[in-house]
Amino acid sequence: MLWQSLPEFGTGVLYSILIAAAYTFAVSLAAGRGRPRLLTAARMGAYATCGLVLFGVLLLAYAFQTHDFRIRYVSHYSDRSMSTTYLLTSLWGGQDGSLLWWSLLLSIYTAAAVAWLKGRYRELQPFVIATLMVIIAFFSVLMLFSANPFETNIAGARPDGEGLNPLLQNYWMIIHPPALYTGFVGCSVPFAFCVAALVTGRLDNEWIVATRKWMLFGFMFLSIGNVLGMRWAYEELGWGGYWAWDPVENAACLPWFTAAAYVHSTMIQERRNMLKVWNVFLICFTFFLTIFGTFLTRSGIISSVHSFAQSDIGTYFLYFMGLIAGTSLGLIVWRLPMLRSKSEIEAVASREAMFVVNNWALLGAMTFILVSTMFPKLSELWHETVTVGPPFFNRWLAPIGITIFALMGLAPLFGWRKTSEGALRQAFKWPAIAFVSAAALHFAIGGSIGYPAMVPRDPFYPGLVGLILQKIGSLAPVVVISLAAFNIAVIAQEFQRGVAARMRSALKRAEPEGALSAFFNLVGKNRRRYGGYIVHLGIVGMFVGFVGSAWNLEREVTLVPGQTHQIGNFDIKYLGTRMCPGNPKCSAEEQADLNKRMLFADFDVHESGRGLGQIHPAKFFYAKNPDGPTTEVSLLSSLRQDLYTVIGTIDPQSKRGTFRFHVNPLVMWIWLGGMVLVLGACISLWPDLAFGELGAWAYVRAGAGVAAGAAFSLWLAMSPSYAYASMKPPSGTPPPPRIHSSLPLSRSLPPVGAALFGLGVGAVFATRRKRPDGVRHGEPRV
Amino acid sequence: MVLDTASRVSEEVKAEALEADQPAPEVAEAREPARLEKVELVNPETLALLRKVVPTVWLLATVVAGLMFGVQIVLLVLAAGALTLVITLMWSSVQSLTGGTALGFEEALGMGAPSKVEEEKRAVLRALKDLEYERGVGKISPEDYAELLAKYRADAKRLIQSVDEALGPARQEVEAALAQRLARAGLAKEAPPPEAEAKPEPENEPQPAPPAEES
Repeated sequence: MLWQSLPEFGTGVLYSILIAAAYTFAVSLAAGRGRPRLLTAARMGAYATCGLVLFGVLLLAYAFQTHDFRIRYVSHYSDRSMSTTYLLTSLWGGQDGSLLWWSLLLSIYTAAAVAWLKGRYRELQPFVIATLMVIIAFFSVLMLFSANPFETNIAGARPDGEGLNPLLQNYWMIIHPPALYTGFVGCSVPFAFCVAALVTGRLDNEWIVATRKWMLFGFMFLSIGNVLGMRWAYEELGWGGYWAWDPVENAACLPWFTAAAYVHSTMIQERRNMLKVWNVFLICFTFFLTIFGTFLTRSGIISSVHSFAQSDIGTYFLYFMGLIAGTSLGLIVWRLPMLRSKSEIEAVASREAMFVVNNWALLGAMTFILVSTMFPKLSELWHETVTVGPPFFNRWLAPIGITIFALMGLAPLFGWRKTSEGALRQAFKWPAIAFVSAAALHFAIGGSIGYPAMVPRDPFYPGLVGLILQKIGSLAPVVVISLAAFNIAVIAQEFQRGVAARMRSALKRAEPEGALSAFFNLVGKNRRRYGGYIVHLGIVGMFVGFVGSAWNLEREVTLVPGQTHQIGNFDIKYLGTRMCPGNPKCSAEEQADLNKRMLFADFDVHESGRGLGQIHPAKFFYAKNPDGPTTEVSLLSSLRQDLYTVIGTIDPQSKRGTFRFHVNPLVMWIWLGGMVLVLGACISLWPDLAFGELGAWAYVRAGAGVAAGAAFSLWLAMSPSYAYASMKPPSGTPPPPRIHSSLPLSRSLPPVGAALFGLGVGAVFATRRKRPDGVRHGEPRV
Repeated sequence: MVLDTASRVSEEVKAEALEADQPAPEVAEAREPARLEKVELVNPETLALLRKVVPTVWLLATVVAGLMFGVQIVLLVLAAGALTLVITLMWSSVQSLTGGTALGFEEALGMGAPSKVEEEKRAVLRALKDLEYERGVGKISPEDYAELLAKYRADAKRLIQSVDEALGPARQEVEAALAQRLARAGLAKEAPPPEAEAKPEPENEPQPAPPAEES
């Protein structure tokens, strides 16, 4: 019975979501107009709306699992040969389902926010719930009238579906979209708070403290989503890089810049009661950019490899963006007198001044990317389509990126309000020494180890601008490496000063602390500050990885079996090809795969005369799409460099093949940096726990949560980065020698890292105790 | 904060009673148990038990379905649970909307929104802690530290006074109501003198916060 009516039932659930959201919106507004007891009804209504969205997603998942090919979305994005996992990931593989998935994530955020708000921010609550309900209602309208995931095929049920795009049948693609969506959707909660604060006029600093945590959460997932997207592009697209400045990639990173600006500028409002208008603007703009990014991806307005099919969905997004912009600007203008600050920046040598400059740099980068992304469309206004490619972005963003990187290191050296000359001199001493030493060392030995300090660049433009960009591009390697040393020195100095101050203070209280204990206590009780420094450390790692592209090597060669090619310090010997299933050298797993035919090319790799093992780039011919083979990259990764290999073409008779080899230095540092960034964000977000209040489970929860987070991050960063083929020796042949760059650590690091981290957190909480006067550490006495 | 809430809830109850042309809240309070008996289908203890048992049974059913019948049935079981949850929540929402449920203690506590002055007080206390940190790590000169410390302490003192003054009448009202209740229940040992009731708590002098810590 259910099977017979599932599509109609699913559509009915979408209507129910809309009705429930509208009901909750109305009740919330009533609660906000001085009837506090209605708030309970609104809260229950919000939970029920979220439950309905979950119900809808489960129905669609059921339709995928039962191969209900009457439903158009199911028949477009799945087939009978797909595994259970990919059938589940098909939920967000296409336009319609991804909107439902988006709604689910928004519902999870809404339910979490409503639960968290219990007993907090009572005056803001009704309007927070009402705003979130409007967003849920928008997505349900979108699904009902433009992209219904339960819509049936006009011609009736098909015998089999078309299957998920092979490019999306990738490990990273399983987790990349949910992570990115989680980041995007996460910006809805701060926006809802912002609207509530503007409507109620409660524009003091408390609400912004709460909002910052939610924004930081969104920022963390935007970072994870973008890094995973880079990883997917690196392994799956086969062009040798991880970021191609594609419009959809750009759209995904735009809110990252404004969110990063916000988590810094909000501190100025907290400390100095300044920049209220700016902060409100940043929250609204970040949310607007998430919707704008979705509009770019889904409207088909700009062509991209990541775009969904073209549809009329863009019109709905345009209206919604208009609503967001109009409401936000209207509310800001209305509350402008309350938002005006009485304080001013008193000195240039102050942290707030540095943060403001940093904000402008981040906004500058965002604006540059936004305008450049839209430029092909904008240029149509004067009847001449101008395309903007990766070299344009790379040249112009080098100086902007270096400025942001430098400011990231400079800001912590300044104190709030003003910094005396003596304090500045003391703060700058060691970081400046690190900067100069790193630059000198790079010039001295960089060339001999294959990483020269300066890399010649061609002039991009004629004239002075071209010359300046050329010089900056040439100097970028040494500047970035030196700034990385500067930033690391700043972070180390901040930790050292904090530990020293804590030890002095403990000594005064006659409760002396060792350096290690002081370190853990310092981080444990100032998680926001030191978590932030760890985020900075992650960004240092990522910058080091980005600058590695200055020393990239790329070759396209034609080889016959037995021939060897040298690139960098690698010797690559072409052994031959094998087609799986069918070839006796194929593994059992490869033999059993009837979904596709796999053409592998086998290579022996030596680095500086030392055997590293075998690599196996491949071409996969999917049964559903035999004319469009996918390129499967094979990678040898190490902290120093990646050997990246791709098959071009292979003659089936002679086995003569054309291959592309890339040596990509320092790419691993991007993934490691991303991992450290996530770790830092987790530390910043970690909630306060007190043994007395929560009991022993607080320790268990803290330890388990952090261990799981650390293990997850490490697993993401260290899991095999070489693609499918590289890890599999042909069956019947002895296993190749262990690849040095396969990082044996990849097996041992997650548990070891998690255990160490868990121990660290345990130490922090174990040393947390009550003072004799009954006041917990961290609480001021007034 | 709680006291402030109590007075607001009390005002709201009065307003609702007037709107419906009902007896005064005191009379309504006396009739409350009878009304609750009519409205509630199950007693609170059973309800609390159900809140734990139903999700547990649901999860167990999911696991059993997964082990015995595979993913498809798991999804159906999960969907059935989600639908049950939605119906329950909607029912609760409509009950609250129509005034069919009593105001719970937690709910009443939750209505205690901190006032603007209280929030400003928290911000000043955070600023004090931050100032101590800045001094501890040597990022602020002694002169600036002394100047800012004096300013923040003065602000904190002023705000704490404001908070105490704002809460004074509500505190007296609640303490009087409590004393009355205790006396009626025969639990009050001795009625407190009126001056002691009205006397605000001694004002504390703001102290420097411990260094290098934040909440």
